[in-house]
Amino acid sequence: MDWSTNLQMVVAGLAMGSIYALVALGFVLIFNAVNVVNFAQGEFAMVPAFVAVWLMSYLNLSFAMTCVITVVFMGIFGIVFERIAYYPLRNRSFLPVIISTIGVGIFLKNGAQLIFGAEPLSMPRPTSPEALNFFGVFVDPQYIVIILCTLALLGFQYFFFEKTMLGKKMLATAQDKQMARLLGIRVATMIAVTFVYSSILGAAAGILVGPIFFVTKDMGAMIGVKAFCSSIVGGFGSIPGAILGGLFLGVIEVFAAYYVSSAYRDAFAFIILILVLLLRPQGIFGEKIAEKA
Amino acid sequence: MLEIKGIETWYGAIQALKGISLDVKQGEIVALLGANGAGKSTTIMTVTGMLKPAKGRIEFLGQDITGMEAEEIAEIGIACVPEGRRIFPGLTVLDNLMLGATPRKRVSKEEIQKDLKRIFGIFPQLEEFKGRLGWQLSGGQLQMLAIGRGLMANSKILLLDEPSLGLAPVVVQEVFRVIQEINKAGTTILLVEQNARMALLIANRGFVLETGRVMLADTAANLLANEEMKQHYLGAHAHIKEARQRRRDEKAGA
Repeated sequence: MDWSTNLQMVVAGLAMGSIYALVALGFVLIFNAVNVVNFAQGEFAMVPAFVAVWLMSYLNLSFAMTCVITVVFMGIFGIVFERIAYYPLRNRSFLPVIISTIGVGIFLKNGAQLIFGAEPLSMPRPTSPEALNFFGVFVDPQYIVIILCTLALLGFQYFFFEKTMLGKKMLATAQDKQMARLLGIRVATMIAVTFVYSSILGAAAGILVGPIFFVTKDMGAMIGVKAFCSSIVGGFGSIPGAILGGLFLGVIEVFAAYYVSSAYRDAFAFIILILVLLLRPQGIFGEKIAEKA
Repeated sequence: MLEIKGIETWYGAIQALKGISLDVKQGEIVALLGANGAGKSTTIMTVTGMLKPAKGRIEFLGQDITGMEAEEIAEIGIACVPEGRRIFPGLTVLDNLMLGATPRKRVSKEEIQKDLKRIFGIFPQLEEFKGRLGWQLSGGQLQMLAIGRGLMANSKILLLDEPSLGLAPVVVQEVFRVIQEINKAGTTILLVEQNARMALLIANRGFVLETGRVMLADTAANLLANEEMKQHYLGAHAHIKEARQRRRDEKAGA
């Protein structure tokens, strides 16, 4: 119960929370762009983890090279996913699209098992396995890398949406597709770019979390569900909500596992989710549904 | 410059336009009048490419644009300020204006800044509030921003759908003054209005729609003098009907 243990848990929680936040952002950006929850979002983190393991373990590529190739691969993956799972159904209601994302998710999971086998793989660590000692607080350096990379990505994203015309066009598309078209904004392109970016966020999550977990076909499902909880806790549709919701769940999870029960570690995200839905259904940053109409 | 020849547009099984023909000449203000549901907005949306006509032909500067995508139509010089303003609520006034310039390809930053200045000259309030988000603006400010955003396209023709809807009388006066000003500066205007008298006072010609057909087409002066027009669209009685309808619209819209 000393402060150094608590601080260690805060860092571990923020690191896990960063992963949830990255995937939750993917959920929110795609939802804002096409009004559909992409249930394959967790797989957007599973696929790059396998790709990265393969590149590092079988091709013996360096970590930096692996990152570059994985990000490019996931960018292309985003376009292909959009073309297959969303584009043919874009003029239909949300239901066929949701089912289609679930379907592609199942395909990806089983595809991963077919190619890489059912055995969990471990990703080589880019960081030393020795914990760093910050004045008595022991921290896994991978956690620091996760937090710093997430901060860098969020900084980039802030710049992109606040300062670039492409970012503004994507926001405009998310807010009013018809008006965007009237202004000559290529809505279909903006949606494709959104899928690419969400998929790259997944690449970051997958590469960052790989070294601290085993890489399995089911890793995406757990991350995806927790990230989905994060975006609802933060307020679905809200970008800051997704980020803070993810960090919040990550920290709560670590503390609850330590102080309450480590066996029920995975349940706490859902307990928080239920509490938020009961007490503040619009989420921490969400607007009330009535205001949205 | 814009010629619409016998277009028919359907919403599913409902036919909204039953063969509308009208034309707008360079430099004109043309008013498109009629009651709710007459097909005014449908006509505008068909011209912009958001709706596809089942029959008929739309020509712009001699080019057949029937069936073209909305994005392409925006790029060839047709800008639209749609009904309900449609300002992006989560973006600032300045962002909304800058997005209006999307259809312009190969345009210098200086030129866009010059147009921005010109719009701030017409609507000083927009400059004052340029950092505010769309949802923070009042109805009048939203309409000014919508027109300003339409102007940023520097289009050859501007389609305005119900610019006076839901605005206080003083603001309506202001909006109509600006429309005239824009027209004098060289932009051709197709103006959809329920406020027939105000629209005809600034228009060169007018077309009156009724249940998807053109019932009357004449110069603005003749329409203002027309007995039938006086009775149905211009009289004091018409104004009361219109006001009632407007209140109903607003309730339905809110």
